[in-house]
Amino acid sequence: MKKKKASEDKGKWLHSACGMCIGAPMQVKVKNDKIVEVRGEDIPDWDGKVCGKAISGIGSRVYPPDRILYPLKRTGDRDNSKFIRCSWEEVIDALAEKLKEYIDAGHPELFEIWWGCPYQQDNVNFIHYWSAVLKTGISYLHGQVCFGDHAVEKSVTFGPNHASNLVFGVTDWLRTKYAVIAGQNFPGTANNAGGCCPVVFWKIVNQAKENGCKFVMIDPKLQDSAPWADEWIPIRPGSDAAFALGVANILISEKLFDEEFLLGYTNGPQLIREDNGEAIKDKEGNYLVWDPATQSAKPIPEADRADGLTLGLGETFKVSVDGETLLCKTVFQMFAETAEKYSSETPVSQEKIHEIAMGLGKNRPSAILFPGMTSGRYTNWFQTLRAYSVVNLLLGNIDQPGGFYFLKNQFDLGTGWPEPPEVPKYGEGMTFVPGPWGNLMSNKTIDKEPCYKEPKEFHPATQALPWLHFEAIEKGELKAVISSAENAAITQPDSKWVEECLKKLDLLIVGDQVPKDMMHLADYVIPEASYLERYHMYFTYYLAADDKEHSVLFMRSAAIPPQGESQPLSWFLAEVAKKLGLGNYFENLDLEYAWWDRMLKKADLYPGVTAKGLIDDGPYDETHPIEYNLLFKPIATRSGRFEIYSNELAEECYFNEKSTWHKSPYVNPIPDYIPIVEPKNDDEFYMVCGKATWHQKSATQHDRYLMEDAIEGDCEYIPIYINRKRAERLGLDDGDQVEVECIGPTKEDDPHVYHELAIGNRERGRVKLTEGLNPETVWIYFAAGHKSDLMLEKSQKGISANWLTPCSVSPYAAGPGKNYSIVKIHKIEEQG
Amino acid sequence: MSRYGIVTDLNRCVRCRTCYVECKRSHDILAHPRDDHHPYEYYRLRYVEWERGRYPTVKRSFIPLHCVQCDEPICIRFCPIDAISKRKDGIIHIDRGECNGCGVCAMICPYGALYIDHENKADACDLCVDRSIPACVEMCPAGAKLFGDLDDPDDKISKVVKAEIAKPLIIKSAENRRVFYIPSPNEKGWESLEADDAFKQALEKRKKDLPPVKGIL
Repeated sequence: MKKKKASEDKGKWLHSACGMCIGAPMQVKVKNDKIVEVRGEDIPDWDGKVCGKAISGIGSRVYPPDRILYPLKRTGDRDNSKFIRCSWEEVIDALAEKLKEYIDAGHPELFEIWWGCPYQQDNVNFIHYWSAVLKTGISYLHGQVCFGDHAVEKSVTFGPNHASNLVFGVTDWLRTKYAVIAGQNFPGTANNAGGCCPVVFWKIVNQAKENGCKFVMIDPKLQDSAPWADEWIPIRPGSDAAFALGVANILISEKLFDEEFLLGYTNGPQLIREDNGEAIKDKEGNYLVWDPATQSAKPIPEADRADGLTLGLGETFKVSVDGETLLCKTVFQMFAETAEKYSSETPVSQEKIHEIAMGLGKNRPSAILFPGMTSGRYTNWFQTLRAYSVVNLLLGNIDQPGGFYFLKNQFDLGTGWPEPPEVPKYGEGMTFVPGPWGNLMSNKTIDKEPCYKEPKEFHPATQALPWLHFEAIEKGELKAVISSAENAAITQPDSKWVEECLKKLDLLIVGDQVPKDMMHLADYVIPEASYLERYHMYFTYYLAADDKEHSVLFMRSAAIPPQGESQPLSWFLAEVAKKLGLGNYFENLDLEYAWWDRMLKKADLYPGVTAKGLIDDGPYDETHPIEYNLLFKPIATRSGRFEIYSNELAEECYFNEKSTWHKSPYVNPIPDYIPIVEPKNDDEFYMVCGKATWHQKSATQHDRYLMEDAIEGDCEYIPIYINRKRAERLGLDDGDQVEVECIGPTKEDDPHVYHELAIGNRERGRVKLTEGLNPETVWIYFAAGHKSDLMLEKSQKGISANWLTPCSVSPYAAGPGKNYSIVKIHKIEEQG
Repeated sequence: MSRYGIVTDLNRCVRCRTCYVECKRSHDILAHPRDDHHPYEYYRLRYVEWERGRYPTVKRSFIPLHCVQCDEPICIRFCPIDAISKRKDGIIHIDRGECNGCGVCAMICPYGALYIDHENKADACDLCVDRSIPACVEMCPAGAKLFGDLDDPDDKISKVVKAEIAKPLIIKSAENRRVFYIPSPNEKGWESLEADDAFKQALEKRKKDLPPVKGIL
């Protein structure tokens, strides 16, 4: 064997970052001005490795044969689009002209920036700054589809200080003994790493498995990576909350809950009026608990104080307030009653529920129940998430060995927005509220206005309210859009409606490196510099297999110049602003180094850590020992404790007569099970769309490496999966062509269906029979059914889930119901 | 002489396809999604994936498969123009200058491990003879692959083989002593895999990626 290390090859290794899913520090080998190889950084747990997405990105996103290298202009109408090459100047003029028109009319918000994944996006902070200067709209449109309702639920249950770690289910894997993961294609899509790169996650989760942790997958489909786990529970879509409440019921009846944790850190002891379900308060407005020693109510103590409290299981208390005596129960007792009520409604067998509950309960607190990120999401999903969270509270697994873990060493980086005198003053007349990624947004933007009125219609932790933007186009309140690193035309529910709305725009500019669905609707396509041709600083926080907490900073650097005439989005936006006479806000900005150095200064890391240093020397990796201390920040809920009964939901929505959601079970302060509509006939099914391990992001949808092999199951075509027995009843065999028609949910089926335009939409595709699928479900993968004929032929095959999914919106959390679709299937006879 | 080999631990494999992509990149194998215009796929490493059992007690098995470097390769025996040989170190070598792309080797290989590339030449895994570590092993993010000297008693790979934790995949009695797998519970009955109809069908599907044989058996 010839001994030769790759690193000894000719060429130069540079430090940069992957941009194919959720970002990773990465080395890039450049030889003769061309990227020839990539590898992971030599820090835990990349250890020199990257995944297939990072490798394929070079051939499929940096150097693909159909890379968009020049600005393009559409000729013909949007139904028959053709593109010709044009100049940057023409696109800059086109947008500047529109913006001038809108600004002169006093309505800069008629233009919006729609952005998507922060790891694929050019300078997320700059585009928010640009929007603040020009007072335009901006929206993290995809963020809500991705995790917005999770963010709300975690904020409601755990308080905003503790929410982010739990959204992504950061887990102390090396000590975990029992893990139940739902809706996730686990471990393939790797969310339980705190939003960190899967390479890091796969190492530690394999270590957990070898340490003896048992893994149970809850999902309608035995997805591609799920057989890695020990067991699969093929849940019926929409019934997850009943499953979670069934588990909770066993934990309570078998006394497998953590009483000390519930007394000390949750509002389980809080008293609730038996007559109306409202929290009882004293004159000062304090929530009350029962004091067994004095046989009277007292204010709920701050977290960490469990003594002198009771969970009041099976008890009713007579509480005197203002001379009135009221019968009360504890939150814990109320939840126990709810859990018992719904425990038999899950289609999962009681034996299996019992087995799982025992597995979780006996291993507490080193056991977790995680609701997943992808293949759930119905209008009842917010309450489902609440039910999952309460099971975890029963297990007392929050920031405990082997449970969920709070990463405690995160950098306070801010946004890097420049301040006067570096730039003139901006934002006058605007009220800024928190936006995604620590940025600020006007409270008058489409996404924020409903979250800051009294009472709040939607929670401020929502990432976006996507349907309102499409509706604004229909009403003429939004006329021009630039879309970058997002793909609303395929990723938003009821995407046929979305497409019709997009066609009404006066101006649509779409940026990317390769073709995608939005492009055939665009007036201009701009060639954005790829992720290895521009600059961006990133952070990532995670637990590694060295049993330490890591806080890593790394820089995306331009390993090669932008190909062709491509440019970063920030360059284009700055040029537009200059045309509008706003150059003094942009012309002296250094987006390569100084922007990030400002952030490093805010975090007190500069000059020890600099943007240039991160490029020259590689990532900054700060390690800390694991420390369990869930009160490292105050619990910022209304009771100061993790809330089984949400006082926020009670006061803001459920008992608030002014709220849109008054008395809605979808915002019941106690987690509720609300069944979703069911398919009724033999040819009707739930339709669920999942993410394959190597197709998590829009970056991979037009990837000639990743689209080459089967999506899964050694199936050479892009399939619609159907349970074998159900298929045979319909006379279907592998490869048969079928028509799939959306038949629900209708508004009559579900009050939170926003409109029914998707009902009756039809798509065609070929079926693949499988034993690994809940019989009531048909399943497709996100890598299917793309509509643009500019895309790879294979990407266009199959059906588009969102084309067949009605737009539904869950109360308060604005959950998009992205898997809430009932379809009817029939075979298409083919000649020959 | 050392006897280099690969062990794949199917318990650790997360089915991420990194080995497939890295193999293609490192050997400049053409990537193009199979479609109506490009019916054949080019690969040195591919997956055999199949289901066993009935709902809901179904298992899904998944094996990253490449040339196992048979002791007595049938591809050498059947190559009509003797373009395939074994190197001194036992690794199969395809002489691209000689190969006429007839496709007999690919069709006859019981593992479906050879393919005909876009330049009409036979190609297969050679354990990355020009690298110190095969690309698929070096980049596996799950740590599911081991590479080493099977004749070195201190090498981890030889230990797991000797302890019979890692087992060869034997099809049609094609003895091989270089490519081993640590089966997961999804691959119960490893030794009798060859008799499993679902596995046989999955393996047979790989032949769909081959152009028609142009030679004479």
